[in-house]
Amino acid sequence: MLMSRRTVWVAALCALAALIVWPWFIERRMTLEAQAALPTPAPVIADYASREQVVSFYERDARRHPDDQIIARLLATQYLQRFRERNDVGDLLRAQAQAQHSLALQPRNNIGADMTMTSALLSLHQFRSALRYVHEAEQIEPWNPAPTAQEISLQTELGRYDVADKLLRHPPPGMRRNDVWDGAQARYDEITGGLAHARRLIDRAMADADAVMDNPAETRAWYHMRSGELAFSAGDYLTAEQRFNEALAIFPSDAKALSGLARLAWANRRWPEALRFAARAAELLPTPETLGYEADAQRALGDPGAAAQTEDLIGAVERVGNARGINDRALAVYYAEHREHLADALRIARRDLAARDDIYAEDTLAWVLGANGRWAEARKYAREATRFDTEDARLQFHAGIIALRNDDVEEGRRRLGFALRLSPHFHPDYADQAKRALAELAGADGSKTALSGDKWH
Amino acid sequence: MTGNRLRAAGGAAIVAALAGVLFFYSAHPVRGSDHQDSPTVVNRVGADISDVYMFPPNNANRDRDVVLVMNVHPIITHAQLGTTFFDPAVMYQLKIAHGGSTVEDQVIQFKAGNPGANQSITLYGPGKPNVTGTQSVFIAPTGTATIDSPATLPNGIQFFAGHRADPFFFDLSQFFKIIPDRNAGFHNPGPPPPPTAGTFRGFSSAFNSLHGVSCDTSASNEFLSSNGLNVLTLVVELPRSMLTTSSPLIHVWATTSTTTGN
Repeated sequence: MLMSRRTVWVAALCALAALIVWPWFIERRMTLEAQAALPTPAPVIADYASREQVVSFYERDARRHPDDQIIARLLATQYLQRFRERNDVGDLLRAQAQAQHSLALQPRNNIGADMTMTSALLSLHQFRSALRYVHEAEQIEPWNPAPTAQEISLQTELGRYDVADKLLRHPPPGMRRNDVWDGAQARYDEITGGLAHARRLIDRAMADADAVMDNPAETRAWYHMRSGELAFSAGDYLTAEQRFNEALAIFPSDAKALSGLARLAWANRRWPEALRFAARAAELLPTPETLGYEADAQRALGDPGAAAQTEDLIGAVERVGNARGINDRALAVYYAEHREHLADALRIARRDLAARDDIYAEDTLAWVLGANGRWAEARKYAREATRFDTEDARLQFHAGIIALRNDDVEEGRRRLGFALRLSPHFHPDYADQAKRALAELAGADGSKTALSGDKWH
Repeated sequence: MTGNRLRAAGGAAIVAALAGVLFFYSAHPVRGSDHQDSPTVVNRVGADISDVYMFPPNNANRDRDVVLVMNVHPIITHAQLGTTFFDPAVMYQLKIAHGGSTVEDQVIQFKAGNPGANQSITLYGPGKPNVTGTQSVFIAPTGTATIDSPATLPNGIQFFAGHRADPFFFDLSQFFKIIPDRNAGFHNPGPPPPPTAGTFRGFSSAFNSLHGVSCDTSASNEFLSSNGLNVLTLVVELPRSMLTTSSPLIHVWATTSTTTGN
């Protein structure tokens, strides 16, 4: 029986419609299934409120029993947790010293001290040194996913994505769903162009961490903060705001969640809000990034004097508060964006790249080189930084502008368009500059001279 | 026909309902024990069983009753007493087998309410388990206590759930000096170093004189009790007759379970 032409057309259109909505349907179904499988959140315990007393308790015991490797390890763990809650780098050094002491007393099978050393060194940006300890932990407990997840994080920070990928493909046999593993996988996916999958993983990890009542509140908040960061990268600003607020409800002194809210308001030019959140975040943790949001907001609100004072603080962070270079990247980005201390920015960006050759160090150096007028050299690093097509609007914007400066209109157009599709309000200035550049490119049909209206920094 | 269908549908509904109940309450075991020693219990310290004890009570009912103790959540400092509670997502359980059997035929289970100074802990059993092995289902409740307050439950059961000093005693630092097998390997390749101690610490001069030995008389450093560390304990005193229904010989062990196994 022959079908009429009209029936064939209707059937073809239906098939086409089904094909179009199929990915959405699958995505939606996976999301609903994932949500249905998530455990119930446990009540929040304010464990951070007694941190000082717990630290004092173990300090006293460590003095009483200097030859006890367990007390040294437990004290190291408490210093590390206090660092996470209060951001005092001195606690990292204290954690490192106690973990080393524990390892001196018990060099073998001391996985707790090995893992604490790894975490402390990671936070101090001594990634290569940390590898030694995490490898020991992996040898002691090859069935335990935590050391391998920690190594994946280290290798990712070092830009050794092939190594991280290989580790991710070979989890310990019989590994169950694990929030630490999911967190490491999410970071890898975020960098290598799998932002949607990274978001699903981090949300699952967040739910798993929330299900355990005895997890430190700060740890639970961290997953919410990370989910907020990934939502921001995806241009999902409502979810980002919700997640940052959830983090603060769990752990009210969460400087990173406050900084996330400041960034969200800053990017959307909600200056009073940006100032309020940035000031609160900077009071807890004065990073160049947070102080930068504060200074920009002060300038936008017509208070250049206050902005200058805040910028002085950024300089102070560089001079005295940048122990072991842990703020290098943020400092270099701020200086390049504000066209200040450009020679310093270049020196700092190169130092950051030497510490960890990841895509963000490459992107930072590329942008700083551009700010110094060295566009051809910048291209090399921008290409390295974008080799995975990472769904990070700022990184794509940098690469787009650098491509245009090197007369590659096609790539410039593609990168700028990608940045705006990812997150239309990723930056208070750059988002508009990207829009203007694309409009000018469309009008001038790719002429470089049409781009002279904006300063690309 | 219609009646058969209805019966079949009714039967299926009952099976489905039972399956739902079983699914809701069934729990997978958390494997691990002792003081935060394995990855699973480090990740869920509230489910970490440190010790299980069974002994006659030190009271007038010494010959009639038996005390079962299950300690969990080790290494609680004094500073953490106000913020450490039983985990409401964990099923705490004492399992009992009789005679030559190694399969539990009686259980005593515990479930905690919301954390806080007035946290409730409900005791279920002792009674026959609905399922045995690696899955567990709550049986009929017997009564409820408030954390840190003793309670008298029906059938002569005394119940306490709360914070107590960890009674476990072991001078681990000294042990590693006597048997230093852990002090070799990754940092110091080669054979283990020789022992740096020959005995445990804490002996008295009188002991040494009496036995003609020279044991270490310096103060011992028992990690858990001398450092004032605490546990959450579940203590049940009950008539022995409730546990010796089928045999006077009983085997007791403890488990903790969650609905996810994590």
